Amino acid sequence: MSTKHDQRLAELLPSYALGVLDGEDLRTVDDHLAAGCATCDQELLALSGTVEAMAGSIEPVAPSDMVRARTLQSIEKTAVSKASAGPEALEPSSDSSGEPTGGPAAGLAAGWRAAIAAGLILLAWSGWSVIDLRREVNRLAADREGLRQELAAVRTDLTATRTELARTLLASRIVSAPRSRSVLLAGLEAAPESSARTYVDPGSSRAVFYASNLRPLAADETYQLWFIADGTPVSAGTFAVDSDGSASVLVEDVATFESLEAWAVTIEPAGGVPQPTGDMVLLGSVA
Amino acid sequence: MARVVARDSRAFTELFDEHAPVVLGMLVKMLRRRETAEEVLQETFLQAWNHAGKFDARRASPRGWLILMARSRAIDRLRSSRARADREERKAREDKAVMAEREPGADVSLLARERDLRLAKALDTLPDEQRTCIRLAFLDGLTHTELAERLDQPLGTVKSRISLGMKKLRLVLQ
Repeated sequence: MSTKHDQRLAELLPSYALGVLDGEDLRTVDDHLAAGCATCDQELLALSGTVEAMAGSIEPVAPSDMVRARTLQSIEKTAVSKASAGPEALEPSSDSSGEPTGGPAAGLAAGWRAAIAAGLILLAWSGWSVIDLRREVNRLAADREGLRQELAAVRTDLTATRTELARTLLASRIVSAPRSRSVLLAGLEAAPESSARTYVDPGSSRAVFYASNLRPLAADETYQLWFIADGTPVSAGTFAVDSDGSASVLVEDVATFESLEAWAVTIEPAGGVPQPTGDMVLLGSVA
Repeated sequence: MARVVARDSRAFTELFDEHAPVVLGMLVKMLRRRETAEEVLQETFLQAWNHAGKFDARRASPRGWLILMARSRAIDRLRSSRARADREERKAREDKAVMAEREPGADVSLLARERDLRLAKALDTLPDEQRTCIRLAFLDGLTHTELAERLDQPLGTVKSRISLGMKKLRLVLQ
């Protein structure tokens, strides 16, 4: 669609480009341009360039970070291809036709304006980056604290695992020692379902005790293991049972096998006692 | 602009970062208040995003298109502002005084304080009557009708002064 060029209307184009045309003149020019006039389009392009150069001759003002962020955020909801406003925004745009073109003076001015604009953009972006960096630093600090606590927990677990491993290895050596002997402990009336076995290594004077099916005790009670040597009960340590009623005790400085007469377990006050006072739940005689 | 039309927010960010400082500089000059200018800047870029399909490269560059939209909104603001009446009255008195007692380079000294030497120098190359029309239209957003009333000149005279003045400015600024 096109229409015949009208020179009378062309005289109104400078005001149209400035945006100050009003009333009937504005409607007439709008209609004329909508009808399609290549000559007026060309004239308008040149005049738009002049208005652009006038605006470009005013000192630029960088938008505040808040206005920039608010504007860019407001369009994100309707964006198809999304990207954050970061350093890539500093990359030269292929759409640079907005700069006035012409002689060397215009080119030089455009260069200065581009440099100033780039500086302002860099300044605005730097401020934005500082905010982003601050958030990132806070996030990393929180992550570091979380990792520190996790590492401490792992170290505690590792220490416990090492201790348990050393204990298991020691027990294994006692059980597998060439001269190791075992003593079976049977459940007495107070704990008829329970049973236990003690392995004694005369070579290292150590013993390991395993029990099963013992009931959990109240907080103010404890199981206490005894060996009886030469008619005297000697404490071999106190212990608690797992959720499944099993327990194990490593015993150092066990009396010589020849003097051992029996192993026994009693229920005593928490912390244990020097001599047995409570109910005996397990008893095994050395054959 | 094609990428903006395709709803590419990265392209829009580039558009904003490249042109917003120049558009805002003009708006601050027109509206005098930075807060109002930033509101209009935001409205302008949202309009550009929502109506990017209306951009016509045959009639304007992207920056020229943005400037036209920003000017239109700024002029609307100026018209609807109640303070506008007082400002126009004051400006009318100033303009009459300037027209009556004009000294060479007065616009340069006025605008030099605001560090807008290039535009001031370009305007200063115009005859007084053209410079006054262009300045009032470009910086104050006065329409043809308002200019005619303000300057007490026939509408045709105002149209002619703006047309001639813009043609000369095109040569000076290019």
